[in-house]
Amino acid sequence: MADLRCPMCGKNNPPQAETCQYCQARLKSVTPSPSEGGGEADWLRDLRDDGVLGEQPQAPATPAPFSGQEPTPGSIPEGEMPDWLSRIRQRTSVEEDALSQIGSAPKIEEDLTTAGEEVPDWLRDLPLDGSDSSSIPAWMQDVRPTTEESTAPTTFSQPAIEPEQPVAPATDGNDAWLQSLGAWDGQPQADEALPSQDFTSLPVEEPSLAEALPAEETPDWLKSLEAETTSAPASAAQDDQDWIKALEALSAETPSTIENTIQDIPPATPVENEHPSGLTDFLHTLEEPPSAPAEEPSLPVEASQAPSIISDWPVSAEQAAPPSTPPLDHIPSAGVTEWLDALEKAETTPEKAPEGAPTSDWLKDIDAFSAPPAEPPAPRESAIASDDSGPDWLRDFGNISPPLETPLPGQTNEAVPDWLTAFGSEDTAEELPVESAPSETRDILPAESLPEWLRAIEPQQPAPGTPAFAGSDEGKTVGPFSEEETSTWISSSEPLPAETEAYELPAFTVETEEGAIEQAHPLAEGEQLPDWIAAEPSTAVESSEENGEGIEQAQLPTWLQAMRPLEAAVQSRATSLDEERIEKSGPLAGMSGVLPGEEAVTQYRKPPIYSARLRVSDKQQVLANLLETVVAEETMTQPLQAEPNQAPQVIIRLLVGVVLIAALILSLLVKPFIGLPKGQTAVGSAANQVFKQIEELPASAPVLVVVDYEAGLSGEMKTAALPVIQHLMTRKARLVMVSTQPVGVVLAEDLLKDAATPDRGSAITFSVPQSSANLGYLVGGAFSLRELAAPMDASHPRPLQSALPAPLRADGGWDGLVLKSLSQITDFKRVILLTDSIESGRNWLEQVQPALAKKVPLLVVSSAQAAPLLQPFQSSGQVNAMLSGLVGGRAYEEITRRPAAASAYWNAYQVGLGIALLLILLGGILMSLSALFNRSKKQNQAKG
Amino acid sequence: MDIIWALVGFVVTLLVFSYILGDNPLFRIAAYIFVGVSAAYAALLVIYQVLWPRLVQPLFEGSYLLIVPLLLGILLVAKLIPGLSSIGSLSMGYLVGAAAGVAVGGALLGTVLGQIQGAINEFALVPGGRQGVTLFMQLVEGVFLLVGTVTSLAYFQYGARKRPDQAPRRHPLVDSLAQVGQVFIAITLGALFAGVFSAALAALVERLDSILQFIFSLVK
Repeated sequence: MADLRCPMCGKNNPPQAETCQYCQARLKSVTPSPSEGGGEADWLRDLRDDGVLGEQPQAPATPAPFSGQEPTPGSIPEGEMPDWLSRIRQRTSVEEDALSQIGSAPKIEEDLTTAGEEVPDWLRDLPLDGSDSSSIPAWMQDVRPTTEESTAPTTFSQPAIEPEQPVAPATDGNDAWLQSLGAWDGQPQADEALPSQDFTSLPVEEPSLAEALPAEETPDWLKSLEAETTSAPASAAQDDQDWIKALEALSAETPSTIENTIQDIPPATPVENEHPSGLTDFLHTLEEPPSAPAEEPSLPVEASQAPSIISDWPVSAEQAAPPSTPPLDHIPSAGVTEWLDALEKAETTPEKAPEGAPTSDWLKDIDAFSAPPAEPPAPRESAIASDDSGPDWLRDFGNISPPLETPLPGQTNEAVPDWLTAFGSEDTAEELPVESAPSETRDILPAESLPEWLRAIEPQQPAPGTPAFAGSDEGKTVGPFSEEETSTWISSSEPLPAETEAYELPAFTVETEEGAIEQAHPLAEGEQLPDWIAAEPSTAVESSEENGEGIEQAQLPTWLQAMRPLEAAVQSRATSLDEERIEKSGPLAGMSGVLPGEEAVTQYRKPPIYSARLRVSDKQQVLANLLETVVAEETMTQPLQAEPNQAPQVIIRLLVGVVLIAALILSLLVKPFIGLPKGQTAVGSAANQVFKQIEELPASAPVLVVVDYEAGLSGEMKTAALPVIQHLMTRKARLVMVSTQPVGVVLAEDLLKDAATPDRGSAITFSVPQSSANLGYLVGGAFSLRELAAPMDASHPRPLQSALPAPLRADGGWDGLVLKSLSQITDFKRVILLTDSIESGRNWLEQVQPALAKKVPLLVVSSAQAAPLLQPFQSSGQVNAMLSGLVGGRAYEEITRRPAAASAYWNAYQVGLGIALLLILLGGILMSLSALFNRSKKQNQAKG
Repeated sequence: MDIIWALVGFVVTLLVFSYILGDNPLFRIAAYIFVGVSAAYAALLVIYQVLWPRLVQPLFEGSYLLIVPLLLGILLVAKLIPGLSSIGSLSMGYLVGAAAGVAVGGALLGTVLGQIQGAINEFALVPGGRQGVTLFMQLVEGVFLLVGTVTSLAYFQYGARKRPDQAPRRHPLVDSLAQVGQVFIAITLGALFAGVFSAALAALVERLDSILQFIFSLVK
């Protein structure tokens, strides 16, 4: 099986699912199929018992399509009364006038009994109670099962023959005969070809009506009405013939059509889905066999009172009311109108059935009969017409009076009065169903012309919830009938099965819409839905809304509303909006379902204009202004400060440079003319201390000379170190050169070379290769210094060799003359540090000086720039003597009395210092003057 | 040969002196030559003075323990590759850790304790005078040195007490000492600047003298 598709969410669900797994919407239609529980669901039966039909708890649904209809016939306000109802009432008023003149009712039962004389033989043989089925003619026996199974709805399933088509296929024949009926409404003509045996297929009510008319209880007014009617015959036989003739005349147009239709009537189909012709649900329900005939109690068969034709009514046997049904208890004792009253009670609420004057009962029943829609009868008529073996009068009767619950059959059997005949003719002229005449009569009659008994009856209306004939008749079934010819009466027929047919589907029928119908009965390919069915849903909705007093929608429980078929509730509404809309102007005027272009234009609305202004509080405004100000300041261009002119600076720089260089060159060219201060050479001075330390060296004492200065300051360092190196050379010391800087190795060699063969002064007899060694580059900085200063022990027999395994230059290496006796740092007699940086000097002081202790004097020859920071080490005693800069070299030369480069540079150096001092002073003065000038200028600007 | 080297020295010196006119190509050429020559010299020096005699040759001789510094050195090269720089962190960690330990130990023993001892020794008054300095002057010198040391240290005291509704401010006593120490620091910086200037002036004089000697040598 295919999955069930949820009508709400559109998702597929398992076939056996009843509710959607995703949205919990009900998947299966709540419409009970006849095959389920006898064509009625329990819940629906309960609902009927509890709510809508609570007043008939034990009255099961009857298969009669007109068994129940919306109550409250006179509940429609005058302003809302449709035209068709107004016309009905007008006609009724005319009839009431006639009734008032008559003064008494005809004795229907007598007419019936007398009519029995002229009843055809075949009809006389019909058993009254239906028990003797053998006496029934064959054609009627063929019809009976159909009647029992509510063949009337079956005829609904076979519409589609147009009036003009005499014979049509089965699918079209249904429409044809239905439309022919509509045409018949408009063109009432006698049709004698209608077989009379169709009458046997009439539902339960008709024989019941006939049986409920005891002759002795016939009201006088009816009798008088019968007597005074011009066309009404005086005798029952004449009456019988007249009304039959009238009926035959009405159905004159469509005899053959009906016959064909009847031939095409299929047997009762089981359920909704099995109808290929697209029948509505209520039609299917009509096809169901009358499981529990509600009308039966109202049809107490009294053979003595009923005419033979009615006593032989085959259905009466099946519809024999159970003795326990309360509404029927009083019927036998009532008068002629009692049968009408009983009929009303049986289908409405027995509790509310007035048990007043007998004259009012029949009118009430007339009201009840007038409202039931004409559609149910129509199928019955077709069902009747399905058998050609019946008499003509019955055939005509079937064409004339579709709703069999109307008193017409009973009356016509007895003697149809002229007013009733005229009513039939008026009906045809005004396109009104025959059964609606009684209600119209009541409504149209002026109040003053109404008899008292009728006035008393007037306010007595069924309870809103009672689904009796009276309630539903006026409101719905008649109305649509008067508006359209074919579709309207069918559309009005929809409420009938919905609410009359055993009340099985009250809510379903009321709520049924087009979409639900279409989906429940999908059309075969190429098959078009007849117009009358297409118009049916909307009419049904309208009729249900117009009724409003039968099974009200508001009375539906919520759970029941939720279980309604959603396709019908949602989809049909969406489609019905467009389909129900009728163009009022333009070339498409009168057409429905066209494009809503006009409305689309008129519905155009100018889009709302929303103010763009924000509601800002004061605080927010302040903050916004602040933010705006900040942003504006950021975006504002700041005036660029004029860059100072670089020309003066370049000039000044050039001027200073030229002056200094010129002064230095001049100073170099002249002989020294600036003497050395005594403090530099005094006892206890730095140079003197160094000189003392070197003078104390023994001969061939190893001296470690550390060359840790850069090439850029080699001019100064060489000037300061050369006197010391020359002093060492004079002392025949073994000079071991080492450096912690890469260039120091080369500078050491250059220093030795310059010391041995100076450009100025006397040469020193010192063999550099033999008396000196260059250990090279001591890599690792402080690490290497710590390793170099490591004391000798068993693990480090020669720490110096471990630190400097490959001397750059050493005669004989570590085993040579210079390095042979050196194993550790303390083996040197002096350690002379030549450095131009405080870091290098501190490393030596921190890593090596502690290892030297006080055994080996540490002498420092430093640059002038490092001297201030190394001076504290000399003050602390960590450095034994320190000589710094050109001044120290010049002082040392002075002490050694060996003038060299320092003495040559001394004048220039002093001149340079003097020029620098002057420039600094001059610059300071100029800047001070500039500052004063600027300050006074600002003050003036501030003042001015 | 000396003339060539003297000519090279003369030219390079003039190129460097061209900086007096501002940054110019001549100065840059001199700078590039100096950097290139120094780098090349350092590379050769390291290879011939360090790697070969202290790493490769011992490895060939059987000192396999030197593989550890070799691996550390190789890992250190990985620092040049961004993707592998984390590998060299091991070597860097070792270097930093060892250097920190060595520096701290040397600073503690060589500088801190030595300077403390030196500051104390200033008050070790020698009755007969020290290097011709009277006892009073020794005491004044010691006090001056102490004041300079304390005030200079106070200047680098940045601790301040937080007060309500006021900016944090040092204690008035510390603040006054810091201001005195600022004077001592200024004198020290002035002495350093004078030393730098005197060193540069001595180098300038030496270069000018070399130029003059070269010129004189050419004249002669």
